[in-house]
Amino acid sequence: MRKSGAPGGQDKTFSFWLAVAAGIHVVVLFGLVGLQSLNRVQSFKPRVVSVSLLSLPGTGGSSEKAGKKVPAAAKPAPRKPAAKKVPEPAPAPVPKPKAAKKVPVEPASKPKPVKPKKEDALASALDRLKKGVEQKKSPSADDNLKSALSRLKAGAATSASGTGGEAAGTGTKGAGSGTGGLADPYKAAVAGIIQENWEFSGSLLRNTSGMEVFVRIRVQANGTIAQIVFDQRSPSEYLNNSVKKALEKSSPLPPFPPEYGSPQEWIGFVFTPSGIEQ
Amino acid sequence: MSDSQIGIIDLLFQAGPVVLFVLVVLLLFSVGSWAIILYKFGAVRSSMNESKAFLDCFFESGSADRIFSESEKFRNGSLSKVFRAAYIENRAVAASPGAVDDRLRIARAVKREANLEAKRLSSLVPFLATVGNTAPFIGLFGTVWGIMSAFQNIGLVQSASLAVVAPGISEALVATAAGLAAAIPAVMGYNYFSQQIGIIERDLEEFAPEFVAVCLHNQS
Repeated sequence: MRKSGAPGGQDKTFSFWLAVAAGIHVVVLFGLVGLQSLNRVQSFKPRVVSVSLLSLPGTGGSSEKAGKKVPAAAKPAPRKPAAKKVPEPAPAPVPKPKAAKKVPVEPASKPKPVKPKKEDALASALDRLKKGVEQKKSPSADDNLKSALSRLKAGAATSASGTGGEAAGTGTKGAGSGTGGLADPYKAAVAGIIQENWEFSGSLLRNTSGMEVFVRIRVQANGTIAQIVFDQRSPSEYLNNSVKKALEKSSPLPPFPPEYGSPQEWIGFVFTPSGIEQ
Repeated sequence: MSDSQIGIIDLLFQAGPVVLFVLVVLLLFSVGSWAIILYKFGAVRSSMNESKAFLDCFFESGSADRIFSESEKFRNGSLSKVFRAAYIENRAVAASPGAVDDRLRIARAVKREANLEAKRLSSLVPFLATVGNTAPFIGLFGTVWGIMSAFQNIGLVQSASLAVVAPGISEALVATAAGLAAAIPAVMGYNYFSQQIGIIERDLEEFAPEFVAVCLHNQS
């Protein structure tokens, strides 16, 4: 039996319980934050890599993945090894029929009634390409073939009113000459074009610190972007995707100026929320 | 860490001013509700337990004087308070008899004390009902406002990819979650206290005539 005036809950004032309730809320809030950070540590998942099973060497839809070392090795795509065999000059024609097969598959994702046109254009262009390769038969036949295919693809895409431009890159590591720099007018022009095509709003990023994307692109003499390599990704997939889309949209770039001797160039950019740096 | 892995603190820091205001209001509501729940839980439980103990004592003791002295032990019990009021009024009637009927005066005193006790017990409880009813709507308001802002940002970017849409909506939904978190305990507390206070009020109505009778019997 409780006596009156006992130090029970009844004697405690409302302000005491208010303080207790506030304390409970603080504890629950910190508990939630702690639990969430604990879950973050425990449920670490490796980054998901989407792999395009059908690919053409050339301008690359998801070439950013191929540009990475790991996906290039881990891709289960059956066509990939065939594309990588190209360094042998003799079996060079091998990937051609495959490429010819692949191209009609791409528009399947974007239904367009222009498939036959593309096939014809591809077939005729491949014939021309064969001739060119046989004539030259040089050690750089691989690059020539790639550039021709990418030109062919770009042409077919243009004739098909811009469809079919999506393809994964080969993942090969090119060795560009790396001439030029900030003062290079061509590279400055390229940066300007990419900047124009870059649709990005920094206001959507929660935290702009560390938001840098280091990208290298392999540009062929005709201006086609043959490969996109992400040297460093930002934590924001939104920024990464916007960079990839900007580069895809910018291809083909203007052709090289005459003073560029090499058939291809590697150009590096740093994309930050404030703009593009070379 | 990708954008999809956003912590609660990140969400709070990234929320707009309106959403933040809504969250602060809901936090205050929640703190107030819990304080009332804890305070009232102690008060109602103590009142019920002491009333029960007082009734045992009331039926065991024969004289009103003895019951009154025993009731000193149950200062938090509602029934003991009402009895004390009746006893004190009875004493006053005995000291200065007036024109008004003694029974009526004591009955009025008992009624007054019972009303006072009911008022004391049910104070602050309506706040729980208010929180229970309004908190989900306040949270919903914050969510709607947050989604409006998110769609405005999506319009600026001209892209509707999941990476763009999801964070804004996720931020906005925090307000609804906070509203529900504030409302659910408040509604549960309100229902519980309404039922308990109803029981006490019925006890008061039931035993008030008994108290009057015991006091009058003691006077005679």
